[in-house]
Amino acid sequence: MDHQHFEELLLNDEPIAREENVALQAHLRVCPKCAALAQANRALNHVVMAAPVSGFATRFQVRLAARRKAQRRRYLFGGLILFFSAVGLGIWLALPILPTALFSPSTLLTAWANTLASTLSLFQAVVEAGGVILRVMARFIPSETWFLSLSFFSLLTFGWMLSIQKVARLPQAI
Amino acid sequence: MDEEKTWILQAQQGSDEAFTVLVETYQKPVYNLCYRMLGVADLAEDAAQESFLRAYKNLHRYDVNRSFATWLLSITAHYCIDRLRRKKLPTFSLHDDEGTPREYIPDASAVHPERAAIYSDQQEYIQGLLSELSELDRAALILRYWHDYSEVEIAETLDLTVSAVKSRLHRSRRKLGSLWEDDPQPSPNVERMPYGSPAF
Repeated sequence: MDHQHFEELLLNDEPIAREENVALQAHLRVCPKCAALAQANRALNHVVMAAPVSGFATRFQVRLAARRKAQRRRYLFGGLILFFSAVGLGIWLALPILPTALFSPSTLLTAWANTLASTLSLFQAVVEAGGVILRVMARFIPSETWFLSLSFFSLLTFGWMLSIQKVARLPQAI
Repeated sequence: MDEEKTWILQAQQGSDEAFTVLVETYQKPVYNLCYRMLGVADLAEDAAQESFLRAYKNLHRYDVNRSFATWLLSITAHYCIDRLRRKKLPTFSLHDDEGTPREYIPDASAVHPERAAIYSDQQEYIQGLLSELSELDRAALILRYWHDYSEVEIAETLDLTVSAVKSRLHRSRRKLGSLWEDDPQPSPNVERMPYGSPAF
């Protein structure tokens, strides 16, 4: 048996038959490379576990409590910042209409109703104009182009939905 | 094992006492993996604590039909690998900056002082060799020899294929053998260490 065979045995570090072990021991006496491998394997097979200093679980409980406290503090500060930001934004938005709302609420309500009505009429006009444009375009663009465009956008949407699903299925990192 | 599942289920329902029992049960394997990966006791303590915190945070994701030890060591191994990659640690030296040997905490079962000293020297030597391996190779070797994991369990712990684990173990042994050949372990009582007391 040659050097490569014994080296492979040592690199696999698996139990070997007695006869083969005798041959291996003989080879180790003449091959420094395999002897080093065998010594390293022997050392690895006699390793001992390192243990933490006593009180590990107690230190863990202390760390867990500190982490929870820090998290609660973060939530509290985050909530306060959000609350004061919302109040500030509300005041800032309400400031221009505050005098009117206080002294003449009916005027304010009428103004809001007018704004709503004009927005709705604008939306209606846009829809009607869009309809007219589509009807005009339908006469100029051939039906095959419509079909191809719709197919392309459908495929695009399908691909996008698939990719979203794939991302959602990925395992959560620990 | 059933008792362990009970602790795990109780911990999943929010019992801190149950999780503390799990910490007490697994502190040694988790710490050992961290110590062998990082090579410094303080960093190992911190990494072990962080690993348990991560396990606690993600306990709701743990499937009770899987091995808890494998799941926990998987978290620990990935944490240590991330830590080593994020912050390239200085290579582990057998001596600290002042030239004094690093503290090694031997196994409580090693009661014979002379044998403990020889074991300690050998463990430190092996620890020094481990630092020459890549993070994943090191983790695979530690799980194989210190934790007595099979190749399948190592693959599961490190998210690798079994053939990748075999290849990594093969490569690691080759590298350790080569390092051992270049720099054989000194016999503990033959050579006087630089910090040792003079013989005469």
